[in-house]
Amino acid sequence: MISRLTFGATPELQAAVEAQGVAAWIEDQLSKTGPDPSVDGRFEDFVGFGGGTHRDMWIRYSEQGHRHEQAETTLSQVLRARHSDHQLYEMMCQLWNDHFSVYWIGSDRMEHLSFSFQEWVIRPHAMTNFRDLLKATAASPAMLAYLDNDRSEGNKSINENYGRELLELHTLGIKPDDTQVYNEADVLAASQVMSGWWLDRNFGNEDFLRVHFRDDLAYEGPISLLNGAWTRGNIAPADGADSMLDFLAMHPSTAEHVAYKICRRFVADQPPASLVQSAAQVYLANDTAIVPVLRHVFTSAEFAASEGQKFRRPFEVLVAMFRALHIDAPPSPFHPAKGWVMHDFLFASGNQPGTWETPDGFPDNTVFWLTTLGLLNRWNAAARLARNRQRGSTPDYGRLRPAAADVGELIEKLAVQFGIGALTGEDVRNIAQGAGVAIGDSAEVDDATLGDIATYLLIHPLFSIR
Amino acid sequence: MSSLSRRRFLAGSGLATAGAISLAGARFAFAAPGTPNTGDVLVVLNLGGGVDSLIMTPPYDYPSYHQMRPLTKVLPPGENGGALPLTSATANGNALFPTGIEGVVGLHPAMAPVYETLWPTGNLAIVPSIGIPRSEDPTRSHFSARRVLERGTADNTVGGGWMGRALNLANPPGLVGGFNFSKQSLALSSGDRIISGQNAADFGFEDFDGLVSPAATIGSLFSGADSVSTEGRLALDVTTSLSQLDFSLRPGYPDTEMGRSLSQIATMLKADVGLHAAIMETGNWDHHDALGETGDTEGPFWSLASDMAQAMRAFADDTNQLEEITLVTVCEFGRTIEEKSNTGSDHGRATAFMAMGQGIQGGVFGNDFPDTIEHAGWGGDLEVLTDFRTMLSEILRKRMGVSNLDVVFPTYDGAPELGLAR
Repeated sequence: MISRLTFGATPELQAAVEAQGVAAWIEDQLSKTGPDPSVDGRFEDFVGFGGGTHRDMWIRYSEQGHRHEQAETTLSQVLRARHSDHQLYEMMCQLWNDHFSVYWIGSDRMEHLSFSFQEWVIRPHAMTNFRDLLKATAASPAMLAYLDNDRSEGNKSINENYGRELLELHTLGIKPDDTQVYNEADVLAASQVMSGWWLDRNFGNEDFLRVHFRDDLAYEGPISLLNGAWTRGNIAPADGADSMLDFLAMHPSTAEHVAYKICRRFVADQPPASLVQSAAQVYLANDTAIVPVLRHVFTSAEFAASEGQKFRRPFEVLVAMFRALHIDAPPSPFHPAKGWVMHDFLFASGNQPGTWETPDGFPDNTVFWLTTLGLLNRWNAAARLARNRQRGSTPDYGRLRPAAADVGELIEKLAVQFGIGALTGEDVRNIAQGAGVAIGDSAEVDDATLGDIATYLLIHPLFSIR
Repeated sequence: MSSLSRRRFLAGSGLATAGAISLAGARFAFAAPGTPNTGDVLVVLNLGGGVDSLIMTPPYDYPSYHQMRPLTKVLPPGENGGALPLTSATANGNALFPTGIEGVVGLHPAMAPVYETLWPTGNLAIVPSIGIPRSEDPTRSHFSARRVLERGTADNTVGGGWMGRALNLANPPGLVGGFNFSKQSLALSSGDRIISGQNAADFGFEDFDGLVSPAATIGSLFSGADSVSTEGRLALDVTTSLSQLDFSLRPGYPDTEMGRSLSQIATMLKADVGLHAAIMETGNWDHHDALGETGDTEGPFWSLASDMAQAMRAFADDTNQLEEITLVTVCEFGRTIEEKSNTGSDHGRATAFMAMGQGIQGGVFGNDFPDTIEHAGWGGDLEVLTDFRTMLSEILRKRMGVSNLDVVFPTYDGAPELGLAR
């Protein structure tokens, strides 16, 4: 259960859940709808936390360089996923980062907008309500630049990129059976509504990176969506987006789409339709609030019946390894583990935040991530971390080591500690043998042997499943 | 925590192995694996940045060429630094020119190592004025054009790349499948058994030293019938195979990135690990400056082309002149007709692709080549007269045995084949 709602089990977490019971723990996680302030002290020298405007952020990062911003954006996510007690909240942040995916790497249109997108747009709304989250993304410089809305001229040449993705990816969506409620005319209509929302990209200007509405760029004519289900009518163009986004946020297709994404994240690659439908109803009944939907999903019969259906993506497995081994996440872009974490593992595994090129975000299914290289990367990561081969990322072997009568029991307890659960007798014997000991040997093995045992446990297929 | 229910995942769900995955947000259409065949190995060289085809395949006799490119033009054959002639005579009658483009364009002299060994035997095909049609990408943006080149379509709901889809369809026997040396290209992605890495030698177990038979232990943990275990055993086999190979630079190969990558491909081929497709970068051809001056036999363009040609030559010599291999050079676009005073050129449209191998019919192909380059095309560019997918489709069909080309290139309407593959 813990693994399903978090980035990985830790003994402390297991004890907490044991003490209060699963139901109470879930409620507790549902109440933690914002960042865990206790994590803040772990960050060292992140310029991204300097506050101010997007322009201020841009200036800070242009002094440090684009790579530095990438590093801060990625590492802040790793660090929070590793250390935050608000685990469910952090998982929701990741879900929305995927849902409203914006691509950073090598894109000159996205310069220095990634950290603030995460920090100021996604994170404040990750567990409040979808309407506010949607509106925040629609008004963000990052999204407008990424999807070219700032190149859209309402009465001359409309750019349909954002309008399309707004309907297809962010709200109404295409259903699992490939049907959709909107058509090309609606894409155009949505683009017309969004026209006028412009981003000042002139560094010299006071308003640099500020999003504002320009009447001269806004489409003037009447606009109708979904056969008149929504029309701009007499609404002033400047208020059109707000009205349309209200309509889209509360549309049944959007409810289903959001419910689907949540179910896919926490239940299974192909979640039960019954659960998606009922969760969509809860979404609508609660005016797009996210927590009630989550509560509904986590307390459902379908959720209870579907343990072990999700394959951990590289980001998740890395954090789970850090958590299992009590390794602290790199606290700064200058930390010795930064290169390995960001480039050798996350980027090489195709899961470094911000590196997914298209707006549909990182896939959330087993087929995509279960690859030869994907597995080899996590096996090598397991050895590197558990055997203390990464400078600056030493496991806390003392905290790791469970009390046990013999090696066999040690392995079994460690497996439970790692969230794997019960192993077969054969696996226990093979792991012992692989670590150069036998199951009947004394449990007082040295740290190196403990690390070897841990390596194989992290490699075990069940560690990659939640 | 019940491990029984965890194991249910491992026992039951399995991989979706065929057909499109129609989940909202999922963009990959995995082709159903075709009947296994033993077609050519496809090696693709990305000339990223946009190779200037007026330099790589110069129309050296055109008065308009001399007029438009006074500083950078490549001289006619015979002159110092002059082009290599693409004529029937120089190919001993082994080359074809179906659309009459004979002696019209030549090959840049730095390509001599490749020309010498593959042109006279009729195994080097050139296609000038090829590229991405404007209907697929009206921009000259690297990012956008590369995506179309790699994806094989302008439709950005199609994920992965054309080579990955082709590899799935070809479903060749053996372990490895495809090797992607390119950090940037997604052409060879979203397929089964594709390995990515800048160095095949990296593909191995790291940090497992001192452990007693780690492969056997890992194998014992992945012994089930479920999808994760099955993939795990494959990963183990591939890693074990590759990690046993000696990837040090083979004799004759230049010690450059290309030389090393091609040498590694050769090593994998000789070890019979089932490699059937590979792609790599060849450096940055984005010559906004420094194309080199007329008659130069040095400079950035020359070095790039020369390094590439030497690596290709070593590879050809090492593989019996590309026996059962088809090697193709591609790039996202060409460059403007007009040169700049700093001897560079801007992003253009049409460029030149090459194909070579024992299964390739040598010659110069393509729908056409303009009679003059003065005002050819829109905005001062060479117009794309042959769709890049026409060339690639023929190679896939004839050399790799892939017939569902509509899956590989979903928005491509098809066109008569060029005749450059046997």
